Amino acid sequence: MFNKKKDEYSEYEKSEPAVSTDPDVRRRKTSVIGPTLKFKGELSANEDLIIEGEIEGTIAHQDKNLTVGKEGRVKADINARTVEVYGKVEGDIHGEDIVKLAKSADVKGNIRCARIVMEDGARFSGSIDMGQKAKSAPKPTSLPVGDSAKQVESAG
Amino acid sequence: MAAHDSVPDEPSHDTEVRGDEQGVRRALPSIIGITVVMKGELTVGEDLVIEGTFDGTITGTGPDTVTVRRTAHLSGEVSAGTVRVEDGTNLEGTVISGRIKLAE
Repeated sequence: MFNKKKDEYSEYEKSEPAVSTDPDVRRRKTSVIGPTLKFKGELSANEDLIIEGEIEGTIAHQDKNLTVGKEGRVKADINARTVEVYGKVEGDIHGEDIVKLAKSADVKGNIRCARIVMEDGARFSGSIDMGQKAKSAPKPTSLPVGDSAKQVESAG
Repeated sequence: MAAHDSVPDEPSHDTEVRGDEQGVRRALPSIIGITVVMKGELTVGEDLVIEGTFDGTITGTGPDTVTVRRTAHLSGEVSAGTVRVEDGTNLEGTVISGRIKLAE
């Protein structure tokens, strides 16, 4: 699922079918907050978002995927369909579908989601509320022996 | 392993530098997409492309280029080494720059 995002980001400048009335404007599916960018204020979006810089304020990003990269530092409450954290987040995270914390993640805040993956090594301080159903029920999977990732799925 | 069973070590995107025509490696630009709405203060030390809506102050800390696409709605102040404004852009405010390019 997440591997699909690779092409969207790495080929962000690739020419895609242009808007019919505006050939220079390319349809991008992902916005990128680069590593030197710092923003303080309100941010909302209706497309996938990758944060490698600093965001402080509020992020309203429902129904799309949000990734906080390794260099990303977010001081804000986050609402998104899928939230993937590799960097630092101070604030509550609401993942409509799933929240993933990589081993490099450092999260201080409460998490509300239907499913969560927390990798061994991830730093987390807060509470987890999984009292909501996933939008799309995941297929049952079994983790291979030796896999360090821990997956918890809600009973409901 | 199923993709959603674990988190990859690195975010699934490419390296953070790219080569331009002269082979010079540059930081990837930030892209504020069409559906993005931002209100506040922004500083950036790399190229920035704005396609969405921004209300506030944009300050470029280096010689990089801020490109304002024609889909953008920009209110406030833009200060950067180079500001490139496309024809048809909805821009209200002040642009402070050593180089201002008006592009068709």
